[in-house]
Amino acid sequence: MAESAAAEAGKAKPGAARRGPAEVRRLLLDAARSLFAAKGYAGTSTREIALTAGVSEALLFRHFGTKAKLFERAILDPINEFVHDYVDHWKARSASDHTPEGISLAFVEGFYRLLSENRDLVLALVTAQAYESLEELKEASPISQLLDELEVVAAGEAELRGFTFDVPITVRLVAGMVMSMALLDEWLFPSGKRRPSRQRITNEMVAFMLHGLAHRDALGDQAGASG
Amino acid sequence: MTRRTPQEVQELLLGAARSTFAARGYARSSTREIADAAGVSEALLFRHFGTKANLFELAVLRPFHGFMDDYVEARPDIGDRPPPPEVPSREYIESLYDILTANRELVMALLAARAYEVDLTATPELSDALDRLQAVVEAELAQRGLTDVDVPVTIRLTFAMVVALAVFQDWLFPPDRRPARERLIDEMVQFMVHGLGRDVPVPA
Repeated sequence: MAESAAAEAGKAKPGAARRGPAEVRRLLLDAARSLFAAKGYAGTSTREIALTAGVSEALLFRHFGTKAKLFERAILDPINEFVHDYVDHWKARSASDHTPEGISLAFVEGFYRLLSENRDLVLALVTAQAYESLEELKEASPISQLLDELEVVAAGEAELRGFTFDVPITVRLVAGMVMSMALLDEWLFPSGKRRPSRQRITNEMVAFMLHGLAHRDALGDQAGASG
Repeated sequence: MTRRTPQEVQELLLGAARSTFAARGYARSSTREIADAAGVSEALLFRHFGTKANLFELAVLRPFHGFMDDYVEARPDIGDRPPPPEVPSREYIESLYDILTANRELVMALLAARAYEVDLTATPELSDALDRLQAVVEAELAQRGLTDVDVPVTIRLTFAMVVALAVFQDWLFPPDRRPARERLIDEMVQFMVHGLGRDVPVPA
């Protein structure tokens, strides 16, 4: 099946047909994602990416400037898109489908799936930042900027429901927890051992998050009573 | 050169491996370089550890296994009058956070190596160590009347949360807004204690 799909794609790749800038960009990002995920940053050349995308290397540089920039976009665009959609959806919410469970589940489920699917790519970024002398990548903390956007949702919910938690830190605790669950997956759930379903992991993350953020004062009383 | 015991040789090699891997990652560290740094022959390195991958696993994973084992071993029986949940939670998070922060580069090296640099088979040790916590945590939660918790998953969640703040801190926080260690630990403890305390419903 994969072979025939590849053959189709090969046939469909029109060296001559004219493609719009958006199409070229998409082809380059797709090629970059699969190559960086498979071979890491250092092991992937722009020439290879251009070849796989079926465009010229000059066009690659015209679109992205440098290999580092292309790398950054390849990784960040999907995360960006997810965060923007999530925040927009929250802003446009209706009162009826607006429960803390629903809001938490939408974030945890989507973010966990996205990072699990792009695990190799995110790990390529970890490696590149740790071992390549990439000033562009080292300085930026683009993920932290994306997390700033989520603060709007967390702050809005806290205010609405009277929750008292530190918004910037909490957003990062939750996002970090989900990110680590995806990145550390094979350590936490090694093959050969029984593995909880994605649904079960997601549910536990949501419960942990909801209760972790709600009713802090109430639990303080309870701790006093049991101590 | 004085004669060293096999144990000494092993320790020297593990120490050299840790610092080399931490600085350059797995792919760029050679066994020759590690042997040189340890002051032993490369042949001896292979006799002790078999392969570079195996040396890596032992050098990098060992601090964590040691920690998890010590922790489970030393965790006091909470008895009839359990301390407030903040106490054991804080102990756990503080120790884990500090050891992960101290070994941050090694965790990075391990993640990186697993990603694509080399075909390392995932070892079950970390997961086994986390499993050893299960009985302790289950008993403690039951004693507090908190039974609505998926313990095996939650143990991993908590671990993942601490890894995130210790190892991925640069990603999560902008450089000028990195909270102090105490602040982070307080938040994690609160999050964990309340995250497990599910007998109080979440307000709608």
